[in-house]
Amino acid sequence: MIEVAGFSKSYGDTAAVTDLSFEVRPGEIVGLVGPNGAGKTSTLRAIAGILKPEAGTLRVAGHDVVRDAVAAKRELAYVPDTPHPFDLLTVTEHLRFAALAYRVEVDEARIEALLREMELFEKRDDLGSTLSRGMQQKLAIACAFLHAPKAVLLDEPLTGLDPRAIRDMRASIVARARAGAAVLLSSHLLELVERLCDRVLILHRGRRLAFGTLEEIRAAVAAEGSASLEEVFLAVTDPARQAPDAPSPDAKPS
Amino acid sequence: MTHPLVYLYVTTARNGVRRFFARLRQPRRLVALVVTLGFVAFVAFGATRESSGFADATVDPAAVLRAYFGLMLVLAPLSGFAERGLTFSLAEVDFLFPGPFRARSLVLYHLARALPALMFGAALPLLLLGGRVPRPGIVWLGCALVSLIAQHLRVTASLFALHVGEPLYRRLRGPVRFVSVVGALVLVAVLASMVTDHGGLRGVLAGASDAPVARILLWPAVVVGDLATPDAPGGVAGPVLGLLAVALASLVPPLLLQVGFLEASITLSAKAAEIRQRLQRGRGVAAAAAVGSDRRVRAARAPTARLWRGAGAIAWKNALMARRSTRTIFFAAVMLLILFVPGLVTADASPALPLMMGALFPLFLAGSLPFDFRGETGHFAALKALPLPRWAVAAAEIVVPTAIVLGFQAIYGLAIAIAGGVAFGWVLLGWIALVPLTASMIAATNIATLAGSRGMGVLLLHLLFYAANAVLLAMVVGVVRAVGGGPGAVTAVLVLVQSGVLVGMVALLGIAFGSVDAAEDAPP
Repeated sequence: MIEVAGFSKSYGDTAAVTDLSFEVRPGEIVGLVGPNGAGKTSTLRAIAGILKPEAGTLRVAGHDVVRDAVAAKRELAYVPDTPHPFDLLTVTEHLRFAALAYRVEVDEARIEALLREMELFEKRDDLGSTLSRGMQQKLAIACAFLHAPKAVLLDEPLTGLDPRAIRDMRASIVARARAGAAVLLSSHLLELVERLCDRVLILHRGRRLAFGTLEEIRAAVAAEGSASLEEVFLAVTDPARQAPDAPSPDAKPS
Repeated sequence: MTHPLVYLYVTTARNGVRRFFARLRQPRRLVALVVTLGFVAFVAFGATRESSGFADATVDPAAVLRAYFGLMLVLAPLSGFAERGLTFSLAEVDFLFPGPFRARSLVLYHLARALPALMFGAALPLLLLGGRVPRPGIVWLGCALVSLIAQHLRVTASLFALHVGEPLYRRLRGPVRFVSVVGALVLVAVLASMVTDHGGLRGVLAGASDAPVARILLWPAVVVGDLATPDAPGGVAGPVLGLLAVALASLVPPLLLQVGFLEASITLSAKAAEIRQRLQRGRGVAAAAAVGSDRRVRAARAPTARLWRGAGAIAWKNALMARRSTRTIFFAAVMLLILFVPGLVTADASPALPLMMGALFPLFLAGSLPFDFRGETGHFAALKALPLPRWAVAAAEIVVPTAIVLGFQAIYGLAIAIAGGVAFGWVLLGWIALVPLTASMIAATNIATLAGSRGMGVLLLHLLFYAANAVLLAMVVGVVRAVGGGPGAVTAVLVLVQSGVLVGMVALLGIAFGSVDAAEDAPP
């Protein structure tokens, strides 16, 4: 559902992402992890059709995001790391706007259900400018889920949420994946990624260091069977392992 | 089904109007609105009253409008080219860029969003010209259409710049930016000259814009000028329809240019949002625009003198910020030159006038020198945790901008003395009297900002303080003269009284600082 092949992107002389390839299947949640500046946000933005790739192809639900951008965007939802709602739209109006933008019926019952799911119902008539950081995050995710996208891109979706909201949001993300969406989720919360994601893609300095299930990556780095994602991540991104002749821990996709 | 961007536009506008009226329930905002409207009416009425008859007036509205809009038409594509990309709000970046919208729809939305500001901007020159313009409604329509054409040219140039190869663009960007900035400053000078009647540049520009080549290339600006003449040589309907046709035709290129502008617009929009945020926090245009500097600087050594310990450390930190903001201070100086020199050179000023104008420097400079509490956004919690009394923090915060303004005033005074307008001794005496006055005015700006005022509110509160202070000083001067005091005695008493005012202002600033809720202080 999300296919990335040979994607490269640079800013001036700095390479942000180099020759990155992976795919996210329908119903699957893939965790995108890496240190700051690893190229996670650039990758998500390129798939969302906001950044122009220098090389490679990116496809969403079979549509090329460069050549057939509008069709690709219609099938996906992207939630940035710090969403900014419209100051002068109420919470409900954000959802109505999303319904119009993605050409789905403006179904007030569905909007209400989403608002309740995201615990935003009490705030439905509040303007975007009055919402807290966590509420803004929930609103952006509610807008993203409204049109039942086939591909969901979430950049640090749980930042600013309280523990209960994190638990509920986790359930919401899993529910979308079970409904058939391909979910690509970037996060620094490795414990969350470990619990939530079917496969993990580790990026470092714009390059793919590892991609596969946690077991596959563990095996590739010769880690213990009980090693957590955090331990595996630290082992994979260890500077000693970054030497040019060091063996790649990349796991073959199952 | 309603087009989503139309829904967004209409709903946002409707909610904006509702919020505006809802906010008027707060007495503070209602008073601010009444004062603002009064100020606008005063400017418009003042301009009207000065014209004793159109033929006798020193200002020729047609020439001014031709020069103003001619410059705007020249500058629009230059600034667009230098910008490279389109500016959106952060919400638009987050919700519209990943949305299923065609690039053409986003360009149209971008243009439509700018319309209200454009319509208001078109009225600004008419407001400053007051009753000198015949048929103000028709002339405003003409001004609005020329502004629309300029906006289309600007967007076309912004998108075209994305087509140009990176090496060529980098070579061109510097000179284009330089010309744009200089042109923008000249535009400000033209605007300033409308209200002062003493603009030196206005005549030159009016002549240039009336040249045959300019009449062809800058036809829309010429038409607006013609509309503002009493007999309107080309009639009214024809020129207005002609402007409408040009406005529609100029919309075609930005819609036809197929260029991916989203990536470039993200950075541009983030920078614009930061500038907007800084402006809302009480910084001047030049200070607000100085964002995104990535040059490396060498770490400064901590000073050893005792003066810089305790609250002095705050002044040292602010001085460092000022030293690294030379571009901001340079722009402030240029703005000052434009605003003050044309008026002084051409006016038959009395010797006291230059000194009085020097006293106004803090009013125009304060916003451009945010090396005080206005630069502390996001740091209030840390500032409050310092083991210092509030008044000491307040006093330390106003030191640097005060010193810079006093520096400008000293240069200005020297220039006047050298030019022979005022004796050196008088200039020195005047400058000494300005020390507590300047510090008090900087304190007033900080109090207004800490009290939650923004933009126009800060300016109005500042003006209010200035007026009250002037009344107090006039009363003091009156009393000293009544008891037979000479110029030396007057200056000594003025400095004494103003120093008392300054102590009061610092105490007030300390209280205002103490009442800031650090929890609500968003990081910059």
